[in-house]
Amino acid sequence: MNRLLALMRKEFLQLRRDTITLRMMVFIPVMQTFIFGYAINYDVKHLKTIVLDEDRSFDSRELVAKMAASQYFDVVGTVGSFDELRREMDEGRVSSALVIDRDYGESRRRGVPARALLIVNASDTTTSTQAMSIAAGISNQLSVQTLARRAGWKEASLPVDLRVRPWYNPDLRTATFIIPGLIAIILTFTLIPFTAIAIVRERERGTLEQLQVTPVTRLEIILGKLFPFILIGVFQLTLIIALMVFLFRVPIAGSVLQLYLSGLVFMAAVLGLGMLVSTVAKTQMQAMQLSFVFLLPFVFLSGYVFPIDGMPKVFQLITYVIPARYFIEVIRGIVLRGASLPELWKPMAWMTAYTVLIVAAAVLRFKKTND
Amino acid sequence: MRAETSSRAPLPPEVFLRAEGLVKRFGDFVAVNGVSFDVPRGKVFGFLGPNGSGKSTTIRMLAGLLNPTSGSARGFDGLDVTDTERWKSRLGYMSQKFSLYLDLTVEENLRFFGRVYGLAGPRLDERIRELSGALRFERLKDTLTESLSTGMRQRVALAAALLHEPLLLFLDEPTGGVDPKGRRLFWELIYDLAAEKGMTVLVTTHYMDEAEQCDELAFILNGDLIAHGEPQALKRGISGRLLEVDLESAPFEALAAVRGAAPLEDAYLFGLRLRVLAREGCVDDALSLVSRFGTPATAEPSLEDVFVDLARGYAERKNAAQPPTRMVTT
Repeated sequence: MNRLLALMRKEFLQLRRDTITLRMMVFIPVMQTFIFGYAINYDVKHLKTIVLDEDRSFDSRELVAKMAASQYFDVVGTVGSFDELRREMDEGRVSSALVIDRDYGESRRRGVPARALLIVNASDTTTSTQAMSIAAGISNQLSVQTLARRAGWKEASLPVDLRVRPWYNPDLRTATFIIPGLIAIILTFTLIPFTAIAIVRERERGTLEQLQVTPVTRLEIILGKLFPFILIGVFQLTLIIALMVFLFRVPIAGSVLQLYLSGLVFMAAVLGLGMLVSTVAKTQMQAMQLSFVFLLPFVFLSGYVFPIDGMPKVFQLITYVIPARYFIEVIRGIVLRGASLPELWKPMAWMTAYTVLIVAAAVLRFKKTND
Repeated sequence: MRAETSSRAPLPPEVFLRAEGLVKRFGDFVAVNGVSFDVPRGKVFGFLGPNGSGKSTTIRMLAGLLNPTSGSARGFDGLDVTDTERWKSRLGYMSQKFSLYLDLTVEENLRFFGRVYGLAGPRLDERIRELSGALRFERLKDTLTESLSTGMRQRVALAAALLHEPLLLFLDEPTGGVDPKGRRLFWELIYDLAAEKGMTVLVTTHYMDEAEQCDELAFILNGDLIAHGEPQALKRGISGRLLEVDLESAPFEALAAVRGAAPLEDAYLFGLRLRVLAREGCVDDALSLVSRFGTPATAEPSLEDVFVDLARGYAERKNAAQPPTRMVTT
């Protein structure tokens, strides 16, 4: 026990001198929270739009006004010809263009389909998909109004009224979806490389060998090494939760304690992965590079940014072996839906199983390094 | 398998550590090939061999850092190396890398290693004071280890290895990169410890002058122990006779003229002197061969001569088709 305390005290002394690492422990979570919280926004508004209005009627101007009122399209100018329009699109000055047919107004009055065309820059699929659905919405709305007027209805109530209620994120804010999952990502980004490097550095310097000739046991070395990182993990967890609740206004619907509890299980998994990396890597550089092997799948195949349901079957299968997938499911459950751990038993059980597996593998490999 | 009964008999009192048939294999590679030797109590025991000879692997097995593939080690009056925790708590270990935490101060390093060995409170303070005085780094206690010179780091590392007053000290090439003055100070201290406290020392080294000062020596080559004994006895055991001639000029011509001659085992230059090792029974032929360069005299072989001779004999025994391995030439 005294030996374990000595090891921990030594880790803290070293950490205190390592001001760069200390700053990174605070800087990385804050930076990532700001980037993911503010910069990532699937809700694309204010698309720069030009109009080629060949009709110039009351109706065509109504259509342009409706598009602008949606806030999704900013009409930045008009052009006189299709060639001019193509040039604007090609040169990237606008990302959508509205072409209104010359007999648009006339057609509406006569009751035949009035035609307009929305061209979008689909090289960015998120943006174009959104533009397309908004345009379809405006088109439907105008059609319904026209039909209602023709049928002589006074009020605009529809025969079928299918409404959508967006629960758990009523304002459909991307931040509400992104920030809770960020907890998993930040713990992965800091704990795997920092743990791996801390252990590899001792081996590289020869101090691990020096420790191994002392009566200290392997278990004590491992625990002494991991304990400070668990504290750092808890600190980061608290930091992100604070930013999430107070800055991004994403309240925790469920139990904070359960959030921490699931966080500790996930931390054990990433610390184990860091240790595994350290048993393979010979230099700190290799440890850093090997850590990155885990980072990308943890971000992109965990359901953090891209929904798992939208992935091809093979990739969906891969997500099952990524512990972050289960942790993100648990966090979103607790933070957004107010679910409790018993209700989330399935992802919790999977995550715990992987954690046990990873830690066992890491400890076994760490022990074998002396044969 | 060796007979359990014979290896379990207690060690004779003058033996502090016994290695019996130590083997270490890494895959197909045999790093240490059945090495057995006794380390006498309270003596400085030198372990010599070129890089990659299995010297460090042997030390690491004896220190409990590596598990031997087969064979055993016993010592400390009744302990077995497999009794890891007690074994390790009684030995001190210092390697060529002087493994200290560079980002800790000298005192923080010593406190840490002291606590790991179970020292605490006034006892720890006292040991740190004693050792920093004896090794003359008292005024550097609050310096970051990183900013110390190699020689100073070596002293601090030695202090760290001695804090818990080990009965056996392993030194794995302890003086690499240390200046001559530092080396002398270091060795004086080691001899004091062996003499005063009765501490047994096991040291590996490249330096022949350091090897000369050991009470006993063992030579290891390609994982085989090829000789073992006191330095003087090893020198007497050299095959043939070492002759020396003072050269006036043109040393390389003289060397070229005698090299490969039948009565000579070996010929090399030693400053402006020609040294030849005459084969057993060919001393007269050898004398007449070299006397044209000057008056030959019998020279006292150095440990280097002994080592070269041993290595040659080993290579001849091992594989007659293979050319003999030259270890060192000066």
